[in-house]
Amino acid sequence: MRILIADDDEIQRDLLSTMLESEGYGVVSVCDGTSAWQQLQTGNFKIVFIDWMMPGLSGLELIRKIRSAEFEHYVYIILCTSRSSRADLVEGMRSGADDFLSKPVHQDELMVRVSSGERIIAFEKRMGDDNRKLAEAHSSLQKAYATIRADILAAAELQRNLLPAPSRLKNVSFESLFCPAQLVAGDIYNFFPLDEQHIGFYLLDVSGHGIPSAMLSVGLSKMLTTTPIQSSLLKRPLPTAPFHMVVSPEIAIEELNRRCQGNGDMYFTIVYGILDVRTGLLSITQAGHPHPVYLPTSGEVVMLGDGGFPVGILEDVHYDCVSQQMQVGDRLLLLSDGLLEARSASGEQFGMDRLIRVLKETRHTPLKSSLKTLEDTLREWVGAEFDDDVSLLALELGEPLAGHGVKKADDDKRNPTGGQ
Amino acid sequence: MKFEESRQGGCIIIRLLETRLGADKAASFKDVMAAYTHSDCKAVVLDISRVEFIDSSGLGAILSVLKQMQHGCELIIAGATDPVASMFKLTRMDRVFLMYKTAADATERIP
Repeated sequence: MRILIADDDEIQRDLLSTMLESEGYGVVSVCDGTSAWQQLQTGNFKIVFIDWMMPGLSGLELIRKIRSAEFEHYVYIILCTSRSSRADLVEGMRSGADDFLSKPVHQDELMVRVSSGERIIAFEKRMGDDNRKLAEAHSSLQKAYATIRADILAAAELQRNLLPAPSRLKNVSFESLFCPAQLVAGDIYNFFPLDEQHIGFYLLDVSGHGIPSAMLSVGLSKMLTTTPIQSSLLKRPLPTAPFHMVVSPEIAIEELNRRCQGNGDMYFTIVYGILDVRTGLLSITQAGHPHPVYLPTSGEVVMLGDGGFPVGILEDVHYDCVSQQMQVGDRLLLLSDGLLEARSASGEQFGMDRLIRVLKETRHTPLKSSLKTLEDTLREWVGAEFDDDVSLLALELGEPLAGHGVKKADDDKRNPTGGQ
Repeated sequence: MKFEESRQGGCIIIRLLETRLGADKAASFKDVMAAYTHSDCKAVVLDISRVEFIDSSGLGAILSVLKQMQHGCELIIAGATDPVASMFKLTRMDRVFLMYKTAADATERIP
């Protein structure tokens, strides 16, 4: 440890110097403030003794200069003074001296002041080291965060790409909403042809949030397919024409339940429906999921189904299937509980009543704009980010394709004998 | 997970004192209940009369506790509030658990 002494009095300088050297310190002495300042630039001195009264740059001025400079380490300043007035000492400490030493200097007192200074220097070094470590840790964390975020964004995109775009399958139009609460969602939906006459569709919601739920939802979407037919849950091969059979929704969900046990506490709820596009007959299984909403062109809105067990958490349970005859122009909506439970700032849930009101008000606008109005209304209701995934799949039954009839509501009136 | 324990006629009553059983509380709920799943009693009555909201993680946690229950010891749900009762009905939990309006009703009915 090297110590700098700045004192214009030669005797004082030598005295102090000798005492410090006898204790093993390396000492450099200068006779004025300017030389002291020069030494400090180059010399790496951690403890400095500064005399109060010096010509040129005074002790106080030197102290202030040191304090306003940015050295790489802390400079511990001991002010040496023969003045004993308290006001002077206060002024000296206020200017930035750490301690003071009265002349004449006694060795024992000198050494305790130096020890004090060394403690402070050691502490400051430790702080400096800790700060450096913190900065390194912070930088590593930032890099890790950037990587994780990039991964999640990639996962979110993968999940989004699994979702079907709004489209028309045969004479059925599909529209949807997908608003994950975090980047990835535990909700997923799909629709697909089952055969010439039937379309299958589902919306499911995995319990919990975030990455584990999203991973299960992607896995499930891969299970709910018609190919390869040998292992499909939704379609079974037959040995004779027509060589395939569409599995009834409740049977499909029962088998799905069997295959999905063992995910710890994770489970999912689902609505799976099959629509016969020629007859308009809907068969639907509700498994612990909010009721699908049947919106006829006129007449009352119906919440279909009677509840059902969630999937993947209870072994050997049975599911039900309900039927609903749909007419041309009728709509059906599958939605997740995140939509119904979305809370306003005052804590009130959006709820089924409000949903039905919006759907009825937009009944005769195109399906796409009805959903847009619903989304806008929901966002306004919540007034903030959604805290659960909001998803919705809607279909509208259109005019049957040539040759096959879906009965329209007033068909019987026009053809009193029945039939087409 | 704040709760109160009491005993009545061969049953242990666990009364939850939280208003929400959600993802953040699911793990601590299971920890609390783990102490009671192997109890030497006829039933553990879970009193949820203070709970206004249970989400999917909360339901998963309750079902997980059900699966841990030792043979011969029932898990009974008491005091489900309206929103919770309708969620239980939607998921047919009313066919999985015995449910009573109050913990007292539950303890009276257990032989």
